[in-house]
Amino acid sequence: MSHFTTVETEITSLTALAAAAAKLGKPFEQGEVDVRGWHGNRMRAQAKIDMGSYDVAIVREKRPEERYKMVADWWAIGMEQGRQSDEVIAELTREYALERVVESCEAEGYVIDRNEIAIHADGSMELVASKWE
Amino acid sequence: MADQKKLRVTIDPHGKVTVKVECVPGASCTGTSEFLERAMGGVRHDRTLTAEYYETAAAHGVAGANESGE
Repeated sequence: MSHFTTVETEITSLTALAAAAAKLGKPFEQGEVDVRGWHGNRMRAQAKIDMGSYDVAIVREKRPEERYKMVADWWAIGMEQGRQSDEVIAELTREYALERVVESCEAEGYVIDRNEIAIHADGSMELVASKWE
Repeated sequence: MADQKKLRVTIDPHGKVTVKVECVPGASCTGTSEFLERAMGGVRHDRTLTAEYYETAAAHGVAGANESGE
């Protein structure tokens, strides 16, 4: 028997986010960081992803559970990369989602064969986690 | 005898995660993916019990097997 559940991805793990950034070849820095925006704009955040000339700020949200949002001048980042800013956000979000799924499943004793993770042309991914008990 | 729990996870192009739970005997499988739902932020869009669930639940006489959702 089986059922489906769909969940909106929110950033709850900086470890998984750092792994996602590393996979995309983007430096990740944690701590009180200085974030670079368009035209010399600056802000402070709890972590950042270095996207080239600009950064993505990782800002802790004021909620009881550990949770973060990504704040950036997405337009400037998209322009620099020659891509739509939506694509940049989507890529970061799905790479984070993958790392978080793997991290969480392994913590629960599930086994995932990373070589078996299917990545499709549209960027979507599929994987199987299994355990015996 | 040990049972195999299997989660089939799909991540859509925008990073939204769908989990399909398989191979768990009994209706208790609805709780199997809760740890993952919490880890992903816990904002759940929908939960759909598949036809396979209804067939097996009916065979086991599980109460409420014809209700959708949680």
